[in-house]
Amino acid sequence: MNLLALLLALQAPDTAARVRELAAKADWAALDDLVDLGPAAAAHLEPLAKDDKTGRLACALDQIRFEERMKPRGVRPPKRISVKCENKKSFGVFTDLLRDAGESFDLSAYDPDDQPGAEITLDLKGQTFWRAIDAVCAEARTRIDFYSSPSLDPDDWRDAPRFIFRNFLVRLDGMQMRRTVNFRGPPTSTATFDFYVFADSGAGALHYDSDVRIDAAEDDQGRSLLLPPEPPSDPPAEPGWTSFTTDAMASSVPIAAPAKDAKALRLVRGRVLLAYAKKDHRLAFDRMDAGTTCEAAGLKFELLALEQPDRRFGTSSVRFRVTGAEEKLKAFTDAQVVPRVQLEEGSGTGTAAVSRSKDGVELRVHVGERQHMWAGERRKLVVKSVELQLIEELEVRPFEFEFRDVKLP
Amino acid sequence: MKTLLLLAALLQDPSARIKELIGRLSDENIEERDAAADELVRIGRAALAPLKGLAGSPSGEIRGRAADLVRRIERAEKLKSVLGVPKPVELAWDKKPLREALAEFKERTGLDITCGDAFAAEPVTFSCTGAPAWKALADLCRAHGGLYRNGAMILKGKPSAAPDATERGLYVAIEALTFSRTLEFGGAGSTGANLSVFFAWQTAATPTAVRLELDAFADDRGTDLRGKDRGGQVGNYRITDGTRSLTSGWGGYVMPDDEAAKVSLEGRAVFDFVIEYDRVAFENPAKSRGTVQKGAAFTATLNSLSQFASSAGDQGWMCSIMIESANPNDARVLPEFVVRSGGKVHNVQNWGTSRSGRGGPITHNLRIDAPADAVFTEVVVRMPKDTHREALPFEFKDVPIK
Repeated sequence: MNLLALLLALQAPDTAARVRELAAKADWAALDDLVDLGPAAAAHLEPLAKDDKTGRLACALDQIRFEERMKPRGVRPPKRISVKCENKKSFGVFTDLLRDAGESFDLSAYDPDDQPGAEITLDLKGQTFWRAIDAVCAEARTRIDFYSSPSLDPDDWRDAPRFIFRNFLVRLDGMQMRRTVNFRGPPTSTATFDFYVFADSGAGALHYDSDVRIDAAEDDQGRSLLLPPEPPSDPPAEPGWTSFTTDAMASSVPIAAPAKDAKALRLVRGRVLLAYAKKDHRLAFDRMDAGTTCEAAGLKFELLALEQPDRRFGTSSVRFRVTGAEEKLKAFTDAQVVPRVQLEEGSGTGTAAVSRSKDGVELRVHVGERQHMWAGERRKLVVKSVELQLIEELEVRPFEFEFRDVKLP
Repeated sequence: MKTLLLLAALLQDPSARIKELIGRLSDENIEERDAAADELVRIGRAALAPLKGLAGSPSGEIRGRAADLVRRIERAEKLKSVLGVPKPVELAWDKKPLREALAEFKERTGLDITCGDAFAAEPVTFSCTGAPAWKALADLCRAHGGLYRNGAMILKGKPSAAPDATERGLYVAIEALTFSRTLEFGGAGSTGANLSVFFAWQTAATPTAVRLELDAFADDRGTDLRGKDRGGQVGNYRITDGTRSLTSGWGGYVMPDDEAAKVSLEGRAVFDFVIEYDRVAFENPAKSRGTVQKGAAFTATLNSLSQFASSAGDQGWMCSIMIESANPNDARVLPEFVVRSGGKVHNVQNWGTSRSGRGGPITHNLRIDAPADAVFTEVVVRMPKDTHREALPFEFKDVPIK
């Protein structure tokens, strides 16, 4: 233990005791509490993490340091939520919870005038957002779904395995197994895991790699479900970055089929690659005047036009001409720009699309509407201002998850 | 004796024979009249003028029969131009390098099958006499462990065992059967089966759609695999003009019993052809928005033609056309669209349809692959006016699936 750690231990005996208490529990909810103790806990946790064979305490320690370092970049610890209700319609519980957490979900499967959903009784204290909403969903038999944004479906509850830690919820929805008799070639068989990954607004990640990676998977018969590694490509494949503006992703991951007699999965451990901004610039276009320019990192953006919504197809876009040195333009991709759109009424979403033609490089920001908490509330997509977050350097970090002893359906 | 009479008829002057057959159309015996009518249809085009000359006959029976025969002969002639007569192939290869063999195959059949460099020099020994082209290719694959895929032949060492059938230039083969089991954690899960079917044709015109109709599909444990919803039908695939073959997959079938070792299929591959189109054209479509064009059996309204950009960054043109026809649900009379700018024909994809009211007009939303500065000169809507279905029956017994 170094001197700083010793001093911290002397100054905060309560923290040390709390760290030991939470570390001994070693479940992911306790680790959430542990990470919330912040940098003060790191020195106490370090020696414990070294002796922890599960690797979970090292994961918590890494998370403490990451959250502290990434505070200026929008990464926030999950909000703590309390829910107390007695025989209350679930719709009202959800809307209160989402309002308290400051999160947006699509609740259009509900009719707000009917105050629908099961009546539930709950007393939750100081839970992270995903733990709180997961507990309400389980009680109200409501499924968290995802179309263009996270949504709640009151008619489709399934008790699928969930992994919750910090700002993320990973759900293992199902497995698909296929065997093909090819009459013109050898038979083939394939299997996949189907995952959903949800992030709250404090996650702070800009992009995710839509291929979830599986590091370990084994059934109760001792069979590994990992496929043999594919030969490395040349040049090495880049992650397929997808913008995290939708706050959720679905991923189907190829695996080997479990043994015929398998009744459960002993372990599934994997990771989602997330990309954060390491070095970036903010280019503010406060007015939508054609000809306005901003530049950074050797690239110049000139606002060409604002295309207002086409009523039929419901999108509007802002077009920019991008100029700069040839090698900068050549390397410029969609993943380097995160647009933030301010509408005349509220905030919108923006998706960047880079196109190249004989006239040069153009960036088009496609504008959408942030999903609202319930149906019927729709606003016009009139763009007031756009901020382009130009990423000069990305930081890639895996979010690791695990499922243990999952009973096969 | 019968053969001699037929030979004598063939050697007879055709116009004299036609005259004789026309005379037999008023025979007292109905069987004689029908036989004469059928032979006139077989004679075809040469009989048209004399039959049309009977339009002024005082006999209603003769007038009616002649008009019916004119219709039958004209349709048979049109059908010939659609189906054509497939040329049988004769091949005799003794250790011929595959690439050279495929070049000869193309010359004889018009089917352009390529192969990769890795198989170009592989010696092929194969012979066939009088086989249709697709059947010859399938037999070649069967003999040499070949796999035909996406216009190329690949030698893979295992002889193909795809059950197939061919007739009249039409060919169908079952390529694969896939069994799937979906486990939903906390849910019911499901099982199912998919069929992958290869359709090919060597006809004068490209069919507009193909599908498989199954009268029986069962495993050797007695499980009916057709499924409640499918009714045994595989797809109804629209075909782009000029395509020579299509592999289609369709799910919704029942998974065979775990112990099943074989399956049997019985049914037909159905090929739809268009014999004649009814068409309307919107000239200078950018200035024709809202205009209505009337064809013989349908009315088309050009609702809109505009540029679009999707949130996924996709850009192009969209065109919305509303069509009113007497039979909007008939898959054989689905409209086709041709969009031109000058001499260029643009690729058009149908991005969905919407209907106003039950049995009401159908609006087709088309995506046109064209540059932003395209100046469209014509949008043509053509609707099949006369269609023909050609069925290729098959019976595949005890196909091994283990």
